[in-house]
Amino acid sequence: MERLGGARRPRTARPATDPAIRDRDPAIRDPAISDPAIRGPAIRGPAIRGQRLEERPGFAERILITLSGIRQPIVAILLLISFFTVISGKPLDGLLLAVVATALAWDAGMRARELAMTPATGEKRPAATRYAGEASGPAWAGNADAPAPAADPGGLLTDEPAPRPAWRPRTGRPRARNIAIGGGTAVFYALIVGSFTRYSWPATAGVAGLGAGVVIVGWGGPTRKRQVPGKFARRGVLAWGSLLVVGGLWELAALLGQPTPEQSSYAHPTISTLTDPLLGSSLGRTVALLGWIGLGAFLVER
Amino acid sequence: MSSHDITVAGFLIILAGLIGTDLAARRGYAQIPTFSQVITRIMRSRTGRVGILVAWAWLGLHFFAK
Repeated sequence: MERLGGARRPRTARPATDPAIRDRDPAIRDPAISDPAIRGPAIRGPAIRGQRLEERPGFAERILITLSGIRQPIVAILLLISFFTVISGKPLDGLLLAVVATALAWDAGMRARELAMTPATGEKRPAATRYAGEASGPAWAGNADAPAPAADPGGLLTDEPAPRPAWRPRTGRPRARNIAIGGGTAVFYALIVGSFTRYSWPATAGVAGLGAGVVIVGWGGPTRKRQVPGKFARRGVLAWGSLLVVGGLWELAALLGQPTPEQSSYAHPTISTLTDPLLGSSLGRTVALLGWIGLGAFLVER
Repeated sequence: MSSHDITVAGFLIILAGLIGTDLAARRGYAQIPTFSQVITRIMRSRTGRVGILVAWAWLGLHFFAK
């Protein structure tokens, strides 16, 4: 009998609106109880609520908050991509990217502002503001023995607080069955979307749909617990940063070497021009789409 | 050597540099993080995470979409 009882699922808690529970539970019955451990952190006094309303930023301050968020390197990079997308003859893509970059700048600026308004207690950042997989130590992911350098020159990787993820991240690798299902779906998707003509509406709908879905998933936080590396050594930042900058400048030089930004040039080919022969065939598009999906899966797992 | 060849060679050198840096990091040379560690670190904040994923989505739109 005990085994049978032990195998039973625990009874689901009834909502607090249930009068039977409400009468028994002193934390619900007695509003004077204000222990956050019992009542949760959501209780705020009227004074705090009023203070928050008074501190709502005005229009000028909103612009300043957004501008402060542009200091985030990824936002600046997105704005640069947006600019070059517009001058390359894709104004709608560029506008969409600029809107997203501005929203991210606003989000980052607001969180930096909230952090600045929080009284300094000398305590560590609460766990609720970190992603569940974030480690407190500076150990490097997958390389715990490696030395953990402390410099972050240029603020390339700033210490913006991370919000709590919207879902519970996995702890280990995905199951083999899930990998097989995901891989099969990716191949099916790539075959279908790859069969569509490049720059057609069906191809646009397929790519935009998957891209939007992944961004929405990413907005909710990581899907897998991972140890986050500590700040990198100056040498590491310089190595990766210089490759990124040189690559960007080389692409820019090729773009500016074209007769016009919209017209490709054989003498100064951009990456897009160089990939045109590959993406001209259905098989090439399918392979490229699989690579794009693989990169997306790699990123979502970070 | 034409300007076409120089441009392509430049891209290949940069690609080789990316692969070489990651290999050097994985073998533990110097104090260079791997590509995966760099991306994990950037994506630990919401701005970094969404920014990287939007850049990925833009890549797909740029090469395939209208």
